[in-house]
Amino acid sequence: MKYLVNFCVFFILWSIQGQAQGLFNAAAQNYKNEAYSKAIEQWNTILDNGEHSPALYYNIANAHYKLNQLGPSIFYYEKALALAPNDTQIKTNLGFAQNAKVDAIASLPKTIFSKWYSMIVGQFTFDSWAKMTVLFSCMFSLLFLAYYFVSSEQKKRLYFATAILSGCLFVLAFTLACVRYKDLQENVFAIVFSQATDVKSSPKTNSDTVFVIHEGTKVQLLETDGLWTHVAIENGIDGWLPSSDIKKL
Amino acid sequence: MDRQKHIWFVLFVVLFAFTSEAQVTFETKVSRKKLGINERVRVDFIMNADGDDFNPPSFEGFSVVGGPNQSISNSYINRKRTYSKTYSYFLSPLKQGTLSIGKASIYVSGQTYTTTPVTLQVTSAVKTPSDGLGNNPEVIAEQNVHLVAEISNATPYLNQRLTVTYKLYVSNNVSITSQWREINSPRYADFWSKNIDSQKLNLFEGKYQGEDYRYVVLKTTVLYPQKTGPLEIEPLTLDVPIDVPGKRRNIFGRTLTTRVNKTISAGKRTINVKPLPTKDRPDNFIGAVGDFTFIATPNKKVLEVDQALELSLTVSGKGNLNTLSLPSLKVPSTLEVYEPQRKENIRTRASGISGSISEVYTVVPQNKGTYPISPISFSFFNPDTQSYQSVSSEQIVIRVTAGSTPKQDPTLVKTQTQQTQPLVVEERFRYIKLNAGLSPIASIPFFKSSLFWALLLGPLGLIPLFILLGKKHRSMRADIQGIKLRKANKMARKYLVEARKNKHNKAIFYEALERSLHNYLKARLNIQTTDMSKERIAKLLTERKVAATPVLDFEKLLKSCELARYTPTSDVAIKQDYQKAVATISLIDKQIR
Repeated sequence: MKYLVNFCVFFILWSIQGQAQGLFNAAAQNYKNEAYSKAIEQWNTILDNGEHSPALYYNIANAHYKLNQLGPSIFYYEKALALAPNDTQIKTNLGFAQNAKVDAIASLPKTIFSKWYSMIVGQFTFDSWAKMTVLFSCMFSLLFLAYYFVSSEQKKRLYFATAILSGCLFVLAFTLACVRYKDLQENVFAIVFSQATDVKSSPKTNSDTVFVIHEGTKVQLLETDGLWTHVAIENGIDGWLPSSDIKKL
Repeated sequence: MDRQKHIWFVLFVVLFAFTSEAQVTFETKVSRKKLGINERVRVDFIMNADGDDFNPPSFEGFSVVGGPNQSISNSYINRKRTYSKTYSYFLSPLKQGTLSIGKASIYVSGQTYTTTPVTLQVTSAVKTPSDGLGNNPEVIAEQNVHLVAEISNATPYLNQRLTVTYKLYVSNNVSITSQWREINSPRYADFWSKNIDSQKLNLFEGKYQGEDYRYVVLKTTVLYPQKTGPLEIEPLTLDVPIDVPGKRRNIFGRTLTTRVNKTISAGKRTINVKPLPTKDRPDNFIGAVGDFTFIATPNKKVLEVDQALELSLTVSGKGNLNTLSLPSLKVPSTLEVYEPQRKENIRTRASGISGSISEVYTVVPQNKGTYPISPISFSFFNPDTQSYQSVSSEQIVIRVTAGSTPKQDPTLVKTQTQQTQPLVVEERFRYIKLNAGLSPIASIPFFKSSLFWALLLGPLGLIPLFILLGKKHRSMRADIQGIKLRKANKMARKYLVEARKNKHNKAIFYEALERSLHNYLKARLNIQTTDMSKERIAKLLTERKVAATPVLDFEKLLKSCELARYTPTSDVAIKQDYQKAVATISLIDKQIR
């Protein structure tokens, strides 16, 4: 039933796909002619119709950057990177946007393991890891059967070794997919949209201001209380700020 | 009758006015209108005609200590006669309060004239009582010279301008001809102050307590209170030489003056400074009070990497510019900013401080890109409207292009500590992507979907299945004899079935029976059809440990099969043979090894 619904949705989307592509190109033309607001509007229409892509987010971010809207710009770059973590083009332009930020927050020093972790796990989305898991699972099965049935000693050895290797890779890929999935579920980030906002020590207007953050800064969401959100910034300091000042990624 | 009298009176007055130029005046003059209870006052009743029958008032509340003294003066100046006749009294008040001297009357050429009553203020005892004669120069000096501090606003807000103006009032009776000396000039603690001394002393006509005075403005001080609450302003004290005219005259007829050095001071004043209202106070308010404008201007908006630009924040207007601090500049972290240079262009006048102050920041961009500098807002309290106002600068966008020589200047030492290393980016801002590659947002993630689990566990589940199938295949292949046996059994059974079907057809029955027997043996003993002699069969069966009886039976069966081809047999015999064949085969099967 679910698949049937999905199929229907897909079919409907496929029928409006051409229309969306036309809108996308029209917006790109507007961008070229420096009508950035118009371009953003058209690209957002595509998003409202329930379609996205790294390219779409990236383009919206570029247009916001051109309009000097730092918060939305960084927000959409991050959205694009979430879908395509290895896109150098997106990374480059995100760098430009981050250069224009007021806050320079030194991130906490990372251990070598966490560096490796982000280097390896951050390479792919959890769906890509899941696909790899399936691939390694098939490979392992085939190689194991080959090992089992082949009679030649030499070939048996070869198949056994490769089967064990792909078995290990299978377990690794599955673990990483789980880890990345959990990571995404637990570590939710947001971008500061307001020009500057006071981060308070407790969710009250009259409480002490811990620090001030500015537009475009990425914060990690910890919890919410009414209209206030508990956030932590890259260097580990945390505090409360009004939920309206940030936009969840 | 009464009316007629009135008309006559008016006519008389008019005629008199025309005939005689000097009109009769009769008035009361007092030496002072305010006196202490221990002082005396001189009262003169002056007329310019020679009247008779002077009738003084009752002087209620006073005791007459002197008088009446009569004096007449008669002078001719330029043939013009001036005549005056005065009755003087010296009075001492008996009680405090407002006392009045009533009407006096005089009779001049058939007409009665009266004076208007005069009221006097009697206060409590004074230290230096005047004798009422007006002869004490000290008293005259004190009564005729006053120093006044005028405060423009006695209840200002914190940091709101107020002025103190010192005025020296001098009555027409005395004069000041030489320079005075400042004994004590006030210090204004808790105020920012600036004295504006008058360059030239201009004489003004003015009123002091309702009487005509001349005054000079000594100085004006501009004050900005720095503290709230009641603040005291110290008095200004002057030593003034005052020329008091005396009674005597010199030979030229001029009055001789006495110089009196008098110390006079403007009294202490208290100013109540109000705190700025806390209601609606903007967060970024840092104490500016007045009326200002605020701008932020860069000297260039497009520059190359490592070139410097100057960004100035300027506040101009009227208010406490001297103690004002400017809002700080917030720039993107990758722009290097140096400590600002403060420039002041302030004039202080009696109307307050006006002008502009600015802070000039030197900004050096380190990377290529577009850097928006968000609007900076500046808040101040406007005492005129009694409200807070905010002004914001425009957003400034700085474009930094790639420098021609991207070398690092070693002389530019970073002043800002803990700056994060700017991200090393490629030289250009990349263009948008033109390939949409859209996909539905609402798609279910592949990970943890049932398809994922099926694809994940499917191949793993196939492993034991394949292994099982392989095993079976192998065992089947390993058991070729068994297969053959099963084949033979099948054949034997098939032929026996064929034989049973043809029980009524003798020829076919025996042929089928023989064939099935042979087939059975072939399968069981692994012998070829060619080698099917009875002896060999018997030998093989014996070798395989089959008992003698079934072997004999078997041989008999084979014999009867051969016989039956050539001899007629009964149906009963056929039935017997079939039963025998089944029994023999099962028996052999049991015994064979």
